Amino acid sequence: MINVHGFGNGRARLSRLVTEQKVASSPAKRRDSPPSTFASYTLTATSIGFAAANRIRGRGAIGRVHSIFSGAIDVVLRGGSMVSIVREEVGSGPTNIVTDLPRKRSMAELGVEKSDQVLRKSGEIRIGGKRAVLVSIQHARLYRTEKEFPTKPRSISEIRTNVAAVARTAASRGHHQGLGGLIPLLVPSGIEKTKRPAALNSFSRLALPRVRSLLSKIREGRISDLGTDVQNLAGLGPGLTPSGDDMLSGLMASLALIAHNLKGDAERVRRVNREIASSARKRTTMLSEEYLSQAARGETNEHFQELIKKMLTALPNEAKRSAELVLKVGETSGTDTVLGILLGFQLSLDEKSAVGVA
Amino acid sequence: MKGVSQAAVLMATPLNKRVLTDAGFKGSEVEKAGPDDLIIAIEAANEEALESPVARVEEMLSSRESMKAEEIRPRSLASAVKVMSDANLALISIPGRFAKREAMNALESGLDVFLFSSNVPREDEVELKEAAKARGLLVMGPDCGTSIINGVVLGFGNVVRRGSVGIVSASGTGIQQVSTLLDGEGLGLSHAIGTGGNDLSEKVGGTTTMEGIRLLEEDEDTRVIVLISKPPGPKTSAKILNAASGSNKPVVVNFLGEGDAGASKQVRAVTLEDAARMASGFVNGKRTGAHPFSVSESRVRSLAQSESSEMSKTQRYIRGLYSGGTLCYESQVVLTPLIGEVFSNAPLKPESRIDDATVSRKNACIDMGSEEFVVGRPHPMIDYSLRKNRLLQEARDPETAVVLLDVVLGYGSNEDPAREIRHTIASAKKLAGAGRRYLSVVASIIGTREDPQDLQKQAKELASVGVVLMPSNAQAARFAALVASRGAVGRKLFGNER
Repeated sequence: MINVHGFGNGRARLSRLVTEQKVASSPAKRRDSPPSTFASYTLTATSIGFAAANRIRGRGAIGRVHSIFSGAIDVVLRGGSMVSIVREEVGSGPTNIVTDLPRKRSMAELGVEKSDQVLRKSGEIRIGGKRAVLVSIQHARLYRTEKEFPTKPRSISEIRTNVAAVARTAASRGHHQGLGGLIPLLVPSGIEKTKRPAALNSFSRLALPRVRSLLSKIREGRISDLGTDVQNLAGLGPGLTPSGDDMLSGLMASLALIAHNLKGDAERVRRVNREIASSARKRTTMLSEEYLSQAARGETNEHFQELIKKMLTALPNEAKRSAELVLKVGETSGTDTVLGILLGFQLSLDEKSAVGVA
Repeated sequence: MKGVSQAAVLMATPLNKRVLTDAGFKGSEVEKAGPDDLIIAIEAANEEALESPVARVEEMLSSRESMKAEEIRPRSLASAVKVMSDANLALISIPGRFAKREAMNALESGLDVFLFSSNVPREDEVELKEAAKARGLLVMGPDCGTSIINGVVLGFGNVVRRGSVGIVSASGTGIQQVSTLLDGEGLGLSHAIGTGGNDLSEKVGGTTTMEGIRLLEEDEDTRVIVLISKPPGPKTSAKILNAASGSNKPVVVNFLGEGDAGASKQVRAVTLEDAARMASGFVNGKRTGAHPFSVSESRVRSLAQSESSEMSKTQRYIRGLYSGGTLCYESQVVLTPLIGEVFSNAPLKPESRIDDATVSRKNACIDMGSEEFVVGRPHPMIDYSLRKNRLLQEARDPETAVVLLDVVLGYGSNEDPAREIRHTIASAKKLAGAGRRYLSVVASIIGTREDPQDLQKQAKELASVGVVLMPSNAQAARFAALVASRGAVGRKLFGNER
């Protein structure tokens, strides 16, 4: 969408070119949510993740509100799994139900409270009792991570150039309060390796030997030995999804999507990812566990998927631009996930690695 | 913060609890907290010092933003309209088979449409354009690469001055070539309306072109109108020419390759360069004659002589490798009368179609932006890799005398094309040299001084690897003909004015 009025010298207007009466007589139609006499707020879902759609299939009480943030209401379902009802800018994801809640409104202001019951009726989800929030899901688009990219992958050397470009961007523009500070130490990118462990924050310092150990075990194909390192990384660091989890999610999603698109050993990657996800169980938050188990199958948020896709198929500047967007996700989550994605690429492009495609 | 020695806000996972314990935050509250609890741990000198950090954490938790407002990516047209309620144009770039629905939604919301999508069925195009016409709106496209409305570039386009020339064009690179040439003359555009490549087909009948002419006719800032297209079908051609001749403003009609004729206010331009020159003549009130080159005959001849002096006898042919389809077509229009038949995957005549576009035959101009090359890849204006490989392939061919290139700058194009291609050009020349041949590389840069890629830097870098740069695509083609023919076409070029 472009407002052409806002550009140029302000004197000449497209409306003059494209007829004055259009602007006056045909205001853009809005499709506001229909008012409801029963609900305090009605949201319209624009997209629903594949896993979320499967999980809310039943009728009646399907779960309870687990936590509420300005951008998301997390719901724990009867079977113990989760879905998140989110604002648009969070983006589509396997367990996300993306709604049209305006950005200026917070999910926390809708009157929903922790432990409120969540009901499924035909075509909608109802959260809470008298002052319920309704989420209409009738017109939501089904989101599923695109695993096979339609654009042909670039050559290995071109992909390496993309990896280096993304690493440089993440090193200079990321948020390094979590594990992001490890990027210059772990990813070969032409970045000066000047950052010494002493300059790292306490989480990165703790994580560094464990990440190195984890990478070397994956490289050597020692899948059954991964558990200890994973347990020493899962649930580590700042963030509602702790840094270590974001890093592991990025690692697994990129390993899976790279193997899929570059004809790698998908079965071996599946085993690696299964081991990581199962070792992280009970070591972190419910939401993180959910993301880890999705990432193990190559299912991830659209922003992360887009970055992996760009690194595999696009030019360095496009990959860089995609990385810049991802780095702004959350406080540290974006940067930590990018670290994991870079490590996934590093392992996959290593000729001697058990999960290598080169 | 004053009085605070350390602070942490962490989810109470086993590892984080251990980190907190090691930092001295011990106690039953930490022990009892589970992974889904948030621990706010602050070590302060006294109770008072705690107030400010606790308030800050609460504020952060209640207003936690994951992305900035300006980066919202609306997921539907409806939500996009909510974000920007005063928008008046929708730019649509989605797979062709889904484009009609979105474009129709946009029209129903009162928005003009710039439809970048290709492979939109012809009947959908007709339906959309009729719907737009009924609402007094415009559908630019499908398959529309460039428009410039009120100085705002949509799609691929250059940073050109505002001025009094209005363009209606079925070709994106046509707009780019004419607008950059005008900019070089110190002139500018009022608007450039892209119509999409099929608008002038007999089936669509030029709906957007007709609408575009009407709008420019009504537009106070437009003094001269330029129409650009490959030659349309006879019925549509007659309709457009009729509309053009009825205009109160001078109209330059450039149906590429079709000759000069017409009344005083409606002139016909053979090439894009002619169209720019004629438009410039109308704006300045003095029509200038056509010259094959911007510099003197002697200078051109001497440069051509030096380019061909070290060529072997086998080197006879021109190989044009184009990112712009219309530039490829224009080169054929220029070359054919000079050197005879030119083979192409987008030929002037069906009998000149090349069997296999991946291998050149005799004199050939290849549109590398055509579908056979771009499926699954970025467009060659962005991604030079296919052209680089092809350049080396041509250099290995002992029959190649000249490689002709277009280098398109502006928004959407490669951010540094000269850097992208210069090493390959040097390697290609070396490859030919190893076979005791000299490969001439001739190019034109479609760009302006204000383009983000820095026109001068691009020109300097290309010249540094021996590329002969000409000021327009048409001149580049003429120069290539002069070199490949060892000057033999000079008589046709300089003997009499075209």
